[in-house]
Amino acid sequence: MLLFYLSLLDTEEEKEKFRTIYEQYHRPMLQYALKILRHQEDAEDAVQTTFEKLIKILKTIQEPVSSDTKTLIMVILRNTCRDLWRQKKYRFAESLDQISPGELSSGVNYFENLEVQQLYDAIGKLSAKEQELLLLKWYHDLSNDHIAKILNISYTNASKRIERTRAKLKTILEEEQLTYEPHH
Amino acid sequence: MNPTIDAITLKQALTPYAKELSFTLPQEEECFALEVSPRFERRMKRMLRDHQKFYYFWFNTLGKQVASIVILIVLGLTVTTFSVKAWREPVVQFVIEFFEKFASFTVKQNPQIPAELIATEPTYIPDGFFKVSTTKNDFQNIILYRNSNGEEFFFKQQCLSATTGGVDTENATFRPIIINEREGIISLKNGHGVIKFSTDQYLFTIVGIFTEEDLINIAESIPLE
Repeated sequence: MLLFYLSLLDTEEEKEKFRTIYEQYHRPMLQYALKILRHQEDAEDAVQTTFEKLIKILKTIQEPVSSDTKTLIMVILRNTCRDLWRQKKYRFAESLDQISPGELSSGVNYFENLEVQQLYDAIGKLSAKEQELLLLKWYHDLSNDHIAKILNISYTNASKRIERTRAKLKTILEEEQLTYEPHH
Repeated sequence: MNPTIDAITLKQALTPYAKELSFTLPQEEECFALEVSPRFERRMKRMLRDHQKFYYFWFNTLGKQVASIVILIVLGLTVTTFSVKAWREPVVQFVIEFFEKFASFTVKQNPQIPAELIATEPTYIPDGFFKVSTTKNDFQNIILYRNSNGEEFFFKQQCLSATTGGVDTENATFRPIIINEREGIISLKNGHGVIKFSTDQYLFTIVGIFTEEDLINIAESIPLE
């Protein structure tokens, strides 16, 4: 048992990694959370919770100051804000789903490869939550266990959500006559 | 044509979403007017400080904190109990009694009992065995039996005024037993069987290479009055 806990101990490199992420991003995160939640204390709570979740998946972060880390932070922060929104029957009317990254880029042809472009368009038809789940699973290659920790849900629930999102994407793609078989 | 989309293709298709999401995180320059409350700064500093500590992962969740507190309480109670003689002795006594009750059979010497041995012996002897020797004094009566194959067993009767008895239960199969309404223990180890039981005055022991049934039959045949 002791060995198990010792194995969880951070290396100096990881401690430094966490400090770097904090120093680099805590103010932008707070700014974003304030924009969404419009309440100083709640925004600060959301940022703190996001950092607590980040600690749990710190080992999966390769480069602390990078676009990928920013994406990961944003997914976690948005989910945390969503949770707060749900818990507090939030004061603002608009849903976080309205700030879907997919909507920002709809209609843009990113890829020369038609297959990738079609897949990109199909992902755009998913909700923001579903897109973020895909990002965690297949962009950041996180395990279902890590995803469960980030979303603050059980492992089973996380696996079910991933499976449902896969199925939904598959249905959209079948309508486009594409077959979807990403690795589990 | 139905091309198969693998995880690599999916990652490619997800890249613009990842980029766009990362761009939605404000730049540091956009945060110039941001005010951070002292409460937030305090909490975050504490989190950073805690994260730097080597034992952080032992206490970073509520469950681990509760477990740690429970362990500390148990340790504290144990240390306190064993530091104070008045508390230690009843606990040790309880452990000994518990052990004796469930893991062994012991009979304590009782000098109050009159040391007068009235010898007795089993009336049932397994087929083929005969009495080889009897050793008797004021405190004990030992009878050795043997068969034609050279196998032996012995019967021992001891006064409780002069003896203390126990059974080695380590690596043995054992269980409590009642012999003619008296408590005892039967133990089987390395093919040897031992039965011990006591009356108010005597401790009886039978040791030999027998089945449990034979041992019990020998013990039950001892006249106790």
